[in-house]
Amino acid sequence: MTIPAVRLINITKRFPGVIANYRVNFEVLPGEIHALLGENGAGKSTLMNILTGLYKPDEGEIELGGQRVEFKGPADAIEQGIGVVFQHFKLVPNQTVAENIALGMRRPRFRLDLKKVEHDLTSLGQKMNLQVKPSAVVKTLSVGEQQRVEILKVLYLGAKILALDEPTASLTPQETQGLFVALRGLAAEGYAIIFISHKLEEVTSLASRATILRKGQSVATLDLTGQPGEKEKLARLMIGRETDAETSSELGLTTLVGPSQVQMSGPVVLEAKDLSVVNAAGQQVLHNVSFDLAQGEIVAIVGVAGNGQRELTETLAGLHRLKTGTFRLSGQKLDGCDPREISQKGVAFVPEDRLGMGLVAGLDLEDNYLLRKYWEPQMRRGPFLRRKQAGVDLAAAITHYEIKVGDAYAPARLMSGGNLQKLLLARELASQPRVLIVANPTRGLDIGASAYVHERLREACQRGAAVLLILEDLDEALALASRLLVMYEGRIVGECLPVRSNENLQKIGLWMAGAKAVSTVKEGDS
Amino acid sequence: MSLKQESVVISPVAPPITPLKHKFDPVALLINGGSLTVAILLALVVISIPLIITGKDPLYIYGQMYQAAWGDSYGQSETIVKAIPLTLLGLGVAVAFKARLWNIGAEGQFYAGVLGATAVALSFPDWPGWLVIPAMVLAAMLGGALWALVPALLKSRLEVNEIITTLMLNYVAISLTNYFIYGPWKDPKGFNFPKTPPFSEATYLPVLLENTRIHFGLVFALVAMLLVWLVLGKSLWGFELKVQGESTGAARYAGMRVAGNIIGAFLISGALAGLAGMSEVSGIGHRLEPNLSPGYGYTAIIVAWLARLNPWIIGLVAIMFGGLVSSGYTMQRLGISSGLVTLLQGAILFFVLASEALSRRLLYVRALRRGNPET
Repeated sequence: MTIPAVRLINITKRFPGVIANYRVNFEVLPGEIHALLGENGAGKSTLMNILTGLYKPDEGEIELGGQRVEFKGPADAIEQGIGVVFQHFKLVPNQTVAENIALGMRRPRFRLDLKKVEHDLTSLGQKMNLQVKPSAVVKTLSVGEQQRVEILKVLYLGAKILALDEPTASLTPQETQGLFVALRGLAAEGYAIIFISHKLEEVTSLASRATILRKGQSVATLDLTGQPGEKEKLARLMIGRETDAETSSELGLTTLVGPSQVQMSGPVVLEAKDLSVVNAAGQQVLHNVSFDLAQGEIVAIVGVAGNGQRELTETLAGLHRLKTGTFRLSGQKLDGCDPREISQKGVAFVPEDRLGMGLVAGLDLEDNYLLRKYWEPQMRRGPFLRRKQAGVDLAAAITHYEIKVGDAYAPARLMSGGNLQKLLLARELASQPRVLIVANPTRGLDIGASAYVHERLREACQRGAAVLLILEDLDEALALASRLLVMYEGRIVGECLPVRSNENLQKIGLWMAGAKAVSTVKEGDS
Repeated sequence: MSLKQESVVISPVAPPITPLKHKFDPVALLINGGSLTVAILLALVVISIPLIITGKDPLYIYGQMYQAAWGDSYGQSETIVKAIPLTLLGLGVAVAFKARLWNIGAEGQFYAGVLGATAVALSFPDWPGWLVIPAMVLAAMLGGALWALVPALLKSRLEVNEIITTLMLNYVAISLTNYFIYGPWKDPKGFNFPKTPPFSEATYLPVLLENTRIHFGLVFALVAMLLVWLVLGKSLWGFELKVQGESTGAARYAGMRVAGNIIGAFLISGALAGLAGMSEVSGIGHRLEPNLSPGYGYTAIIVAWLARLNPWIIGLVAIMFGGLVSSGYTMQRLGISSGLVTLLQGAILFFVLASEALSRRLLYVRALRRGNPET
């Protein structure tokens, strides 16, 4: 039997309040491409950070080539032949390829022979199907080429074990194919490759084995044989179901709308048609997104983070310019309005970025409460603020929303996440909005604070508001929403009811992983 | 595990609302005040080192400086005279600093104002005071604002670093002023000295106190203090500047017009600096000569920062630094370079910045220690 290049044995890593990895077992053989699959928050990044020496595991062992090792830090891991290609490249844009790679070299210590580096890189690149011109300046390279530089870098520094974190996230299909050719070549040369992804299509076409992480645990390792039904099996393992009914009743979460209802509960309030947005980097982040939001419903948009959810919420709040499309509030045009006008018309927005967009870390609670209210008639007298009124309203909000405050005039950055979220909700809900857009409202909150947030969202919805909710946690979405939309690569790829049947869950899993999708609700509708 | 559902529902009877109060925190005051005092003392100690090396008695020198600035009524009045431009300039940079726009160009905007005022004064020697003075004020404020508009546009449109543009424009403004003094505006009857002809007496700002040089610019400074206090501390627009200074992301989310506010803050900042220039040339100089400002624009940055952008405190700190500036002239008479004063100013700023970082850290650690409820 071959000795694994890396073996992680019973790795456990705890963070305050969270167990990120629990008794994870994982191994890669030399010459193998092994996929590491899992949803957001399943513990993939933690495991990688342990492998690269950034974190120390609380329990468990790491073996390299059968030898037990302990990393004192990332430099140690590199020394031992572990190389990571991160999703976000770590290159100096104004330097050449060779200079970037020389940056990581430890030897020789004083003399830098760039010519030799360039020469070595050319031959290494040819051998490994990773051709890049070593004298090219990095910022002139395409994303795919930059990734090749990253791979060359770790190879040149002597990596025998290669971990790639979501390597295809920003590649074109052609570049992805090129990457796969190179990776297969590397495996044939005896390198051990860890391919981290949640795209089932790619995993099944590239890897020979896959280990699935779910909620911090390694739930299975499968040999990938290409049999029909394999993807479905992976999706099911990735999302996992057995205990869900239990946990959700434990949390006191029940669905609002019975699963039998297909039609929306009230008149359409928010109507988005054909929304396309191009970001500052020139990438199209939303592709012709259309949906309706009816009074009294909670629609959850689920999907892996970074598939355009954030941009969608910001667009609806008036923060991005549309390339195409329009959105309306009860027939009233909202596109082209600035964030203040949209807020005044009755669309409240609780952004994902609590301190940085939703609230200002350096300002006190009164200023933060005023942030999206200071223009209201009761908050001003001519060009001047009515601070007294703001103080009174804030005090009321603190009492009603049970915000725990030591000193309301201390900077917001001293508050806990739960209290910040309560303050945000208090401010955004104070004007009784007709539409409430909320992005990841429970991220980083404990169970109590999360339940509180859910309660407030339900309350707003019972009052007749329409709630659009971005969630990464599918369980939470199933418990809270009356309808689910699935986003993938800036598109809405699926729509379904929050039914906990295996069939439905598998379908959602496939949508989230980018499988071709058809809406089940809108079929025949147009 | 069950959750207390009733705790999250608003009870029909509204619970009593406890009014919010700014908590008086004597320890914080002590930390802030103490660190400031220590910083100034440290500056004095460090600057005594070169004095001792050159064989001077630092205590004697510091005593003489204090005497010069505060010892007699003449010294006191001169201190106030220097505090006038420092206040106006300090208020100007404070408006920009509030939005975290690092306008280092008060000196240049001052000279742009001087040029505007001088142009009016020289062009209309026959105008009566009630006409020419407001015209000079207007031209000066316009000049200062225009000088600030260039970095403002570059900053808001192209995100060009304002520190560099404002600083560079200082040299342009000073050279431009010199060009006019040595060139087109040179006094034909001035024996080739670099100065403009004397202004008509109608352009003089009235003296407020007999036998001193304290002029009407003091009123400008006081009014400006009041207005800046209203704008920065009380108005919606001041709130916007504060928010966008802390976080442009939050400012956009709140629908603020970030680029427009940048331009507005720069224009006001420049206009106040321009007004300072007018009040100097019309209240003190009565003609334009080179080096009208002994670096007021730079000292004003220290003033505004020490006062933590509070308009009233800016006035107080300006008086303190006015004393420092006016004692510099006396030092020269004692055979000590006026560079000592610049040295002292720099050292004070250096230590104050360091102490501020330190006291902020102390307060933050303390706030964390005392614990914010429920994390």
